[in-house]
Amino acid sequence: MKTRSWLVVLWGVGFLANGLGSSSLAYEGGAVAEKGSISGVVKVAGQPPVGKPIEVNKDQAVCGTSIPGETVIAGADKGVKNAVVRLTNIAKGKPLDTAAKPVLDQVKCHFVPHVVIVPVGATLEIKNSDPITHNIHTFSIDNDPINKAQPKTLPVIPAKFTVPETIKAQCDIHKWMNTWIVTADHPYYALTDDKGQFKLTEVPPGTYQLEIWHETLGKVTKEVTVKANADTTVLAELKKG
Amino acid sequence: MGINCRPMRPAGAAVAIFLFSLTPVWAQETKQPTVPSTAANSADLRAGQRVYQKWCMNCHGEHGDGAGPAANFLRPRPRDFRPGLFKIRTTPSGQLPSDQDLFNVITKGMPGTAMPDWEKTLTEAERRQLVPYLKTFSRRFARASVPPQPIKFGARVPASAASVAEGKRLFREVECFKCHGDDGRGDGPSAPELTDDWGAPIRPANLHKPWNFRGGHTPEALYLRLQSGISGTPMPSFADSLNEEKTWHLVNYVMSLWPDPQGNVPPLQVALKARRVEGEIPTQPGDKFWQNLESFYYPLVGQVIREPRLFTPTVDGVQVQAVYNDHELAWRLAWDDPTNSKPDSKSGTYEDMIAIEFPVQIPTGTKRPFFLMGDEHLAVQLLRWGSASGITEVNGNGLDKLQPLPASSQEATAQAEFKDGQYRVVIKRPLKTVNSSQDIQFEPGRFIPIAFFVWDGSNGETEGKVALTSWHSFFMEPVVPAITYLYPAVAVVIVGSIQWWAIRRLRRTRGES
Repeated sequence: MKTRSWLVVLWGVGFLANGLGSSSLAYEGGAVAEKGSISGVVKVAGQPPVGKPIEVNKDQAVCGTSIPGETVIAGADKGVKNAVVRLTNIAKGKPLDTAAKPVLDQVKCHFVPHVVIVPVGATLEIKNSDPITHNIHTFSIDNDPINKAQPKTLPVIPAKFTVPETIKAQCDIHKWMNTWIVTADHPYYALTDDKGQFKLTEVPPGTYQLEIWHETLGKVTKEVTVKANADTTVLAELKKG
Repeated sequence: MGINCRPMRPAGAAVAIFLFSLTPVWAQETKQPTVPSTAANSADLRAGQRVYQKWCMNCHGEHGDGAGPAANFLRPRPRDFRPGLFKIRTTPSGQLPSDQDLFNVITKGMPGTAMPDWEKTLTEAERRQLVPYLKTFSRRFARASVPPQPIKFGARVPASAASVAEGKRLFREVECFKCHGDDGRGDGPSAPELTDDWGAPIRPANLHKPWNFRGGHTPEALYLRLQSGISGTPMPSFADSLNEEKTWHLVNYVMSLWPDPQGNVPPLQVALKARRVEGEIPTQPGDKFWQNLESFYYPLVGQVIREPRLFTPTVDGVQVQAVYNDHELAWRLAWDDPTNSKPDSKSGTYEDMIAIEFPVQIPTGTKRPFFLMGDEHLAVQLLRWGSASGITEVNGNGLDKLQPLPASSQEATAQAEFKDGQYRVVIKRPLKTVNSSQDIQFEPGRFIPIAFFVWDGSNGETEGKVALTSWHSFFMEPVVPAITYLYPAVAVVIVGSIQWWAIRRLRRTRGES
């Protein structure tokens, strides 16, 4: 009997330790009295390893013969598109927009956008603008995984997510089609534009961890301090490998 | 703090479970604090762990990661339990399996894979104890607040011709053929690139072979696979795109493709019979002649006796028909292979091949050559057809002692086609040949040993890496000569005449006396 209770205790402690070790406490959204902002640019160090176009070997009538490579998109000034910038340790701030309806479309056998940020609880509209079948297949573990066929007769699949996670998704029928769904449990997430620029607004004053993640260039974290009515600028550099 | 295969003391088990729960699993990023939601008590978990470590661990791995010592020899690979993705479920897409789903897979096994049915080996209690233990490998179970509910659906729409036709139309409309192929043999344009959620290559099901369907082949099982998808694989859920009625039509269409309405493997016959026909035998495998001829199915297994072995063959059966006329024999062979392989030494791809094997001398007693291409005492003859090399007659005294016959003795011919993921080849050979010491001389009315070998070149199959059968019997039905029918008549006449003569003689004798 003694052993059994010890086991139960160990069991519980193990799970709690596992959970607490890597999660933040629930985010609390509300009115923000004092507002600052973080803006910046994400660049790639050295020669940008720009993604090569992908040759299409099926459904060419719909997909065309070539799909632009999107693993790295960087301009002449080395600004990186589609990097996800987020605060990792914010507990309180502006409300999370759960009424938002971000769209993930499939156009000419290509996901648009290539990276989409979805607030937890909001509905992601997965669309198929092509006259052929795709399947949306997510590789998630914390959210329920999705693998649904989307024939031309099914223009929209609504999808909801319950916890923050960076989820890779693909179409198995057209293997080159892949995308990232980044689910967010607070509103301080941003995606860099084609110049590598981003902006986080209505940030309460304080010191935060700013994480910059890119699907092939990896992750960097910076500490930033935000002051009321002021913009903090950040320059982040990502390196291949 | 290693955890090993030895039976653990309770304290050891406790530490082990603690470590399991701490181990970072599968995806890197972990989130919510979790507490096991299963009501299983620790005694059950310990019992489940004991059963697991004795029976499951060698394939599924100590930590449930699907990487046990035997895993590399298996295809599909054993399931990695950590992401909580289970193929055979009765629950909606994206959801976890029910406890009963897990219990059923343990009990029934997974056809077409190395996962056996455990109902003959483990008691029901042991199989039930495994369920909560398996659930400890994935944190998804701990997070789920309500138990998953099975999909509800009504009775099957009858498999009328109209329903099958509608199913066939839907097969094209929702594009099942993209993976499963135009004729459902798993050879669709997207098939070669498919991978499972772990990145390992995976093949779409050959819908003509229901005995390999992982979750069984009842209509309800098919309905559930379409509605819920097969987690961890590219097979998506069609719950949003096919309503209940349409799903049944598609089920009915798939079932119409089966060689047997019950979905069973065609049974083995006593012998492969070759019927005698008059006139020429068609050489084209697509000729109508073959449609009405009796067909014999031979299951194939990987060659695992000699190095190099083949644990994961592509082709698991061959359909054979045979006929002969006054001067030649013909076999029509059909087998499903999703790829028409082109030899390429760089990628380790070889040509696709098939061979029919006979002993060079028809045995008179019980002594036959070793079925694996002969032995040093008794030679075999192979009629071997390759997608690049065509037909070759090869004699063998062992796997590494194969010798093509000289050009003057190459008397076999072949015609082949590859269509919709199936090879069809007609091989012919004269009944009697000049080189009678090296060629088998076929004789009707005798049971002749016969075996088959099939190679899928794009699966790296060549030489000893082959799918095969052991010896079966080949029997050419003898022609009954017309005189055979005359014998009874002649006998009747003779017997009758003798009796008539005897009676007459008897009467005459009495009359005289």
